[in-house]
Formats: sequence, structure tokens, C-alpha cells
Amino acid sequence: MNSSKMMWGGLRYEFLMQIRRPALWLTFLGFAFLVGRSILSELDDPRFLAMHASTLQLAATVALLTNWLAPLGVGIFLADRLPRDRRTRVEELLNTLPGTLKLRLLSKYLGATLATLLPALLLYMLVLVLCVWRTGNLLLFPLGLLCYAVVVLPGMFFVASFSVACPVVIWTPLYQFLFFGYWFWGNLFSPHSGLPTLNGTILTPIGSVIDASFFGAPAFGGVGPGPTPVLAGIASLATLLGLAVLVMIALYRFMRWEQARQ
Amino acid sequence: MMLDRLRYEMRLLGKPVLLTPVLVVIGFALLLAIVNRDVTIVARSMSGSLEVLLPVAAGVIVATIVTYDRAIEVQLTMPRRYHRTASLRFLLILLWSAIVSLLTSLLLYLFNYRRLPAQIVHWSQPWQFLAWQLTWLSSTLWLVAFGLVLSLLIRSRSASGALLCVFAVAELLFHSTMDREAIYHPIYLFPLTFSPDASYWLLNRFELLGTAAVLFVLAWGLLRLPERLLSHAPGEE
Amino acid sequence: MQIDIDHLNKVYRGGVRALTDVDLVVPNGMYGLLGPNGAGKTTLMRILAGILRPTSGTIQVGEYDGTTERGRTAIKRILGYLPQDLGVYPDLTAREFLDYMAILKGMDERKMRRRRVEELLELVSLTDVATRKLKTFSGGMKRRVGIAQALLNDPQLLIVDEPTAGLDPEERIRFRNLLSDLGGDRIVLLSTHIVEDIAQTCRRLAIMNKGRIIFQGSTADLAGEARGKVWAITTGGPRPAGDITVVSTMNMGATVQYRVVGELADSSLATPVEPSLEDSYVWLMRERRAPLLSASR
Repeated sequence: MNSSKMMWGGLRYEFLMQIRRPALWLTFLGFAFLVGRSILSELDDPRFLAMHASTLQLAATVALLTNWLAPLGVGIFLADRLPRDRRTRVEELLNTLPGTLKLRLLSKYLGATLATLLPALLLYMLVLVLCVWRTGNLLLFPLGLLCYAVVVLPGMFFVASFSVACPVVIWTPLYQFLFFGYWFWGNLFSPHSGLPTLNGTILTPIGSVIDASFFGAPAFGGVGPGPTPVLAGIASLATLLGLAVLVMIALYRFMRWEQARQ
Repeated sequence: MMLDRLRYEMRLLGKPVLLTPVLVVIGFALLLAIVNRDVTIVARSMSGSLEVLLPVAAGVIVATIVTYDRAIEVQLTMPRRYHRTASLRFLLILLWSAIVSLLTSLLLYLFNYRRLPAQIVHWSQPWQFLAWQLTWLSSTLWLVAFGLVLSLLIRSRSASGALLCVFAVAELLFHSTMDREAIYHPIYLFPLTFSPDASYWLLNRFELLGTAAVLFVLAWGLLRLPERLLSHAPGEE
Repeated sequence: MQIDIDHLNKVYRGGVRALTDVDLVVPNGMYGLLGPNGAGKTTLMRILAGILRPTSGTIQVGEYDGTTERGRTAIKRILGYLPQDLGVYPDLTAREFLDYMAILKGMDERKMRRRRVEELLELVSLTDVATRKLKTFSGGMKRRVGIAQALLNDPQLLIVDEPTAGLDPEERIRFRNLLSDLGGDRIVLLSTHIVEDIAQTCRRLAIMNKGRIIFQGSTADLAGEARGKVWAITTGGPRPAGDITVVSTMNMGATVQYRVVGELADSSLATPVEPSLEDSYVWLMRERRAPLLSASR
């Protein structure tokens, strides 16, 4: 059977299984309320608008602000996808099918991630609509989508890869708790607090370094490194996506080793 | 009988449940020991672990463990009712978290790494120490009650844990709004970390206990619905 | 003791009607509950076990009213239950699992409880593996642990839901023999879709389909329902025609022997045979023969 057809079939069903979870939509609805309210209040502040020299900069900051919470939902809701195969005893059946482990993992990763990103994207588009409504600037919408693709998506795929892989070796509730701690510490913890943090480095999955280097977005609420060279943005993008790939390769190798051990 | 029962319930909860709060505290303390020994920063950070990390860990554990039982169908046919079994498990997790939190706070107090809310700084002993325990107690009780209600309403381990973590992060992100607007005070979980000078700190701690009590009553009612306990949310097996 | 069920209905959230106007009397001894998957057997078992509440109707188990909270609690004290999907705690040993279940059943006295656990381990032939963790147990062994936990409190009402599903022939025979020995002074309600389980162990049964009772009475009465409708046909040609259900097929080399239930188009080549329980069950399940049939209650 054609492997691309198998890949597409697997991806489609992983997408459908994830998108049908009411709890996923409930969570992002909660996010929409919190984030929407927060951004609207910022847009009402003239100092906030004055911080941005262009529509592109404003779009980049909005993309970043919306991304404070969404990846947390993405990471936590992806954490149970692989353990679920074991729990529902489908794994044994899947191991007998002609599709390779590589194809299965890839289709699970992409399908489940895209499904989880859908409510995150809808939330973001809602925020953009609110921003356009408040500022009257229609250009915010297309620029906002561009910023989302460049600033937010690399970090989302980075988070998704760890969330799919780590629960294979760590107890899922523990992973969720560690992820919560990591998300706060690695993205929102101020570098001036006296404790080391990933915030402001190229490993920040929230996308603040990419945001600052490509679009010149200012630091906001302790998030973001301030003026940053373009090379740092490229390095961050490459690092996040590269690590996502490496983690998935490591996962594949680990699962193959586990299967051989049995 | 009770000892035998407790022994089995602890076995069923498992080592991860017992180890998690201990590892959280020890891990965080080790990290601080390596990166920064400034007393103020250590005091602030360890008080943060007491008020934030330990309660969230307890909440996630309750949300993902207590109301899920492999032998639920048989449990529901027992004369010793399942809502009592679930309550016992819940209390064991809470008690263990409380022991770890109390020991941590005692050590912090003794070694002067404590960060006190302004409202009780001038209180005499033992009232100051006892009031300071509300730092972790109120947050923990609220989050475990919330975790219990989430697990009973949503019937999904990962979604319950996810929503609890999301709520905690939202509290961390929007702390200034919660500090500023009194309407949020009854659910403001982490004032010592962000607003140690708040004049409403003690009231906030008791308000949290009150709202936690409401959540417990709701959870108690939901635990007595066997059809709910047997069910899973769609896609959340 | 007997169970009296009157006009029992169960409608789940979403409007799924699992039980419709169920009337049933279950006397002492082994009683079979037969029906296809989705007939409502498990729902009925769960209502009797006090796990689910009926939407309407009455249940009397001996002197206890199964529709009240107090009644359900009282029934649970005399109940042993083996569910279709028995979940076990993988890190407990068989002995520990039974000990824990005994505690939940209110057996507080340690010595007496442990003695009972050992008796049951012996009964289900698991003494040699009593210290092994349940995660190492096969499906059949877990079922035996399951029946052991159901018997801990020497129940007056024993409900077993699909006990032999997924077991190998040897385990299935062992289980049937075990269940047969358990009848007597207690009610043993055996719910299954495997006709042979009931044929081997029960004298009385009820058949459910689509949430309704379509037959209740003795196994002899059920066997008689299909009299004159069961045929054996040996042919070297095509499959027999007519409004029939083929119950079994045996390849004899040049010919094939069919056992069929129904109305044959041409009965000249067929030999009428005495119906078995399975034949009668098939006959009843055929949609055109599904009106309510009750032997005397």
C-alpha cells in the first residue's frame, strides 16, 4: 500500500480524534476570554500603541501576547496521545499493521498537533478581529497571520514534539505538572529575578526572540529580550524546529528499541 | 482493619503520588542552592514553591488520580461505598502534601528563609507561624477541591490536569488584575508571591477556604452519582 | 429468596433506551440471561447490583427494595458481582487483591478474612500463584480472581456478567463447573450471549433483545419452541434455500451437512431434528418470530 496514503489516512484520523475532544475547546474558550480581555485593555492604553512604530510591530506583539497561554494548552493536551494507545490497547494492533512505526509517529504528531493548533488559531483570529475592530486598522489581520506563522508556530511544534515524546517515559500527570512549571519558568519568568531562565534566549518557545529580531517588537511585561539582531531570530527558529525534529527522531529510536526488547 | 485498608489505599495511589511533592521541593531547593544563595531571593522563591508549586502539584495529582479506578465497576457494588473510598484517597494525598508543606515551612522558618506577608510580620509566636501556614494551606485546599470537581465534571484525566494547570498559569499571568480588583480576591491563589504587602492577605486566605468549601460540597454530590463515575468524556478514554 | 422485577425501564442520557418494560421473576438457583450484544443484559445486571438507578419500575430482591438507597445498600451486603470487564490492580498480588476486596465488603476481622481468602484461592486453583502480581496473570486467571472476589462474602445473590467470554475451552469448562456448584440456596444470575454456558448450567432462563424480555421459562420450554423448525440437510449441491438460518455447517468431503432453523423451500431432502437450546434461541431471534413469548411466571 502507498505509504503516503497511509500517512495521510493516519494523519486525518489523529486529527479527527483530537479535534473531537470537548475539553480541548472548553480550555481554549477559557483562553479566549482571558486573552481577549487582556489584549482589549492593552489596546485601550495609548502608551501601548505608542510603543509600536508600525502595524507590523503591533501585529508581532499581539501574536506574542496571544501566545502566552495557548502553547500551554497545546502541550498538555498532546501529552496523552501516545499513552492513550497503550491504555486503550490499540498499540498492539497498530504494531501488526503494514504502516511503519516512523509513519505512525509522524502522522500522530502532525495530525494531533494540527488538531490542537486549530482552536489556538481560531482564538488568535478572534483576537485579531478584536484588534482590527478597536484600532480600525485592517492591515493587522494579514500581518497578524504572517507573524503567527513566523513567531508562534515554530515554538508550537517544539512544544508539541516534547509533549508527544516525553509521556512515553514519564508518568503523564507528572509531565503535565512539569510542563506547567517549565512554561512559566522558561517563558514568563523575568531574567532579572535572580534565577536563571530560558526567557529571552533562543530556546524560548514563546517566540519572543523571533518576535524581537524579525519584527522589532519591544519587550513587554518582562517577556522579550528587547532589540535583538536578526541572526538571533534565525538561530531561535532553527533551534526550535531542529529540536522538534530531533526529539521525534529520538522518540522513534526509543520506541523501536522498546519493541525489539519485548 | 483501618490500618490494612490504609496500607492498600497507599499502595494503590502509588509511589509517583508520594514522591512528587518531595521531589518538587528538593529539586527546587537544589536549584536555588546552585544558582543563587541570596537570602531574599531564596526566601521569595521557596515561599513561591510553598504557595504555588506544591499546591499545583497536589491539585494535578488529585485531578488525575482520585476518581479514576481500574476496578470501578466492582467498587460501586461494595457495601463500603465508593464515595468514601475516593474521599479517603483524596485525604491521603492532601495529608501527604500537607506534611511536606508543613515540614518545608518549618525548615524555612527555622533557617530564616521565610517571606512573610506584611499583615502578620509583627505578630507574636506561635500565631505568626500558624497564620503563615495559610500560605500553602488555603491554596492547596482550593486547588485540590478544584481538581476533584474538574475530574468529576469532565471525566478526563488529561483534560482535568490540563485545565488545572491552565488555571494556575492564568492566576500567575493575571495576578495584577486579581490583586487590583476585589471581586477576584476569593479566588486569588498566590498573593504572597506577587502581593506580599496586601492588606487583605488574611481575609483572602479565609475567603479561599470558603470557596474551597463550596467546591468540596459540589464534589461530594458528584461523587455520589455512579453513572458519572462510570463514564468517560468522548475521546478521553 | 427471589428477585421480582416489574415494569423496569432505563433510559440513558441522550435518550438511549436500554430497558423497556422489563418484567422478570428470578427464583433460587442458577438462572440464565441470554441475549445478543446490546440487548440490555449488562444494564439489567448493573441495576440489580445497585450501580445504576432505573428510570422507572420496581425491583425486589428478597425483602429488599432495590429502588431505594437503603435497599441498594442492603442488597450490596448480600451481593457478589463479577462484571464483564473486570478491572484489577496490576501491582497487587492475587492474595492482596482479594484481601482488599474483602475489606471493602466489610470483613473487618483479619484472621477470618485471610482464612476466607485462602479458601477461595484454593477453590479457584490459584493458591500456587497467589503471590504473583495480577499484571502477570492471563485472562482466565484474572477471571478466576474475579469469581473469587465475588464469593468473598458468601453472597445470597451472585451476578456474573459474561464470565466465559474470551476464555479457552478448558477455562470455560472449569468456569461452568464452578458456577454449577454454586447454585443451591442462592440466586446465581448468569448473563451471557454464549448459549452453551446456559445449556450446561441453568434450568431456567430469560432471553432479552433490544431492551425487552422476549422469553422466560425453563430451558426445556425454550428447546420446545423450535420443535418442527429444525432440520438437518446433507447435500452435494448448493446451500439450501428458504427462509432459514444456517446454525452449523459440517464439511464431509463430497457433501456438506447443514443444520438449519426456519422454513425450508423444499423439505423433501431434509430430516427434522430435535432442537437444541441454541436452535431455539436462533429461532426466537429471527425478527419475524420476535413477539413477546412468556412461559408462566
